[in-house]
Amino acid sequence: MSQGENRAGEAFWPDKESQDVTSEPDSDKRSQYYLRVPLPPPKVLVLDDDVDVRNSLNEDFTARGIDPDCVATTSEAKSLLTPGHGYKVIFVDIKLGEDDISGDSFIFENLKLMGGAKVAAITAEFYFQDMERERYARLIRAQVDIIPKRRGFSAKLIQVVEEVIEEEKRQMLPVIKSLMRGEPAPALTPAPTPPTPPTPEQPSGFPKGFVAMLEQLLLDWLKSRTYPDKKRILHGGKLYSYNDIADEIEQGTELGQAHLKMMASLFMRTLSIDS
Amino acid sequence: MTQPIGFLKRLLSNLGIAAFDRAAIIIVPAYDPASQSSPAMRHVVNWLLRLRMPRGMARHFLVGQRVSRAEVEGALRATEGLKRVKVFLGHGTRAALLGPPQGNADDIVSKGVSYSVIYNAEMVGPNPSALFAYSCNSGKQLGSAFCGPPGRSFLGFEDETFLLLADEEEAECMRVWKDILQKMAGGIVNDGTILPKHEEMLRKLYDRHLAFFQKGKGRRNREDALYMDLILNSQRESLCRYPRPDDRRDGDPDPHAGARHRGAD
Repeated sequence: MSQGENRAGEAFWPDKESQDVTSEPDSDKRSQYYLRVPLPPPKVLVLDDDVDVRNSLNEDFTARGIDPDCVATTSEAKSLLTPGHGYKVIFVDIKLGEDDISGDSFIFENLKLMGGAKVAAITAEFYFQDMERERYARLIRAQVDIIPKRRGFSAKLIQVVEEVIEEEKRQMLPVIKSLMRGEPAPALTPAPTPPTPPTPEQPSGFPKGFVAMLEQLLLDWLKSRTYPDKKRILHGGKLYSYNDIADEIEQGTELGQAHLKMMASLFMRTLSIDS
Repeated sequence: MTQPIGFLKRLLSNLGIAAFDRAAIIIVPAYDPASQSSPAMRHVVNWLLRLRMPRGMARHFLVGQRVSRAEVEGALRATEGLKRVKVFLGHGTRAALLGPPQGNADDIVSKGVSYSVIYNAEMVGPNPSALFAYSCNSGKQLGSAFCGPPGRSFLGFEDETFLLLADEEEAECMRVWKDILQKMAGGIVNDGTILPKHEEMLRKLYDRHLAFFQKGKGRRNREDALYMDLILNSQRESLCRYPRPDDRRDGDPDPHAGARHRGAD
């Protein structure tokens, strides 16, 4: 597995071979450890009836650590747009199969299901000459990007995904800072929310689900250890197991909050965000 | 006969050959039978019991479930007039170091568990003294209170601390704590005070061990690497030392001094 790839839900570490661990680190630098954390890769949905396009995008997205679901029909796409689907970006080809509705129609019929995901239309109709003006204008008014299928357009799609993630990181920062200050965290493990009309200020997942994500990542890690019941963690003169810590997190105790704070700190270091 | 001996001891101490004018008090309470009997805790205690100390230094080891405020007060009385170094490994709050519950009205409850207060600001005296408190939160308040009188120094933490242990002393996580505890406690005991270089040394130790688990062979330790990263970084971030540079007064430890004693036992 090359550097930059990750398996969803599994911690991984930089591929670079270790430094000599007996050597002193550079003491002039503030310690910054760019540690990969067990983050789920960003999810995107691609609706395009062209199998070559789907295969190409699938390959390109996966290589960049993005988790794509590529489907050919609107019915398949609709089946994936369940409440809490978690897609960050949804790409929809304007011109779909003959037996299918158009991509822009699908977008407007299913805006609510798309939740807060960013929606972008992709089209092979160069220079938009064949596209009806009103359909084009309607997409523009709905703040749907239109990306032509020119050479190298997958790089453009990847750029769109990365811009969405960067924006979410910026919105995460106040939540991370409040956790670092030990302030009460937002409600943990919120129930899946019903789909709401998309608004530019409310992307799906972060930051509303950020604390829940941290909690889930840490719980998954703790509970998946080989010996989760072995009492090994010394705190307050008492020995805890990984499962004990998981219980504390789920109950929202001070000890659990302390662990979420440590996870938030790990995020800060990983994202290289100055506190 | 005692006068020449006393003179000789003072002379040897002043020459840095021995440390008859100093004392080390090592405090490692056990809070319940389970933690006392745990092999991992026995290793930790042994690391501190086996610290190399300067020849002639008075030594008091307060270990296990019998550690109490009375015991600590007794050790302080026995070392009155000596320059003390105290090393504590246990549970703390912002204002106190805690020991096992005594079952009396003086016990306190911290996070739903009973403890006794074995050291707090009421017990701070004028003796030159250093306290290395490997415990939760004591840096928030006790640290600065401890350094109220001149000539005193503190190194501890301002947040919750955790140690990931193992029954095997050679486990990767155990080697980290052994390295940190022995180097830090040993260095402070030998120097007789806590200096900026000790804080710097501890931060470098954290950096080294973080690098081991993040980029070194320790990253293959799927069982422990992430958790070690979390707790090492947390300790590094919450580390605090008193007096702070702006707080120095006459009689405070000279940050450029470092009394080294040859002929350690």
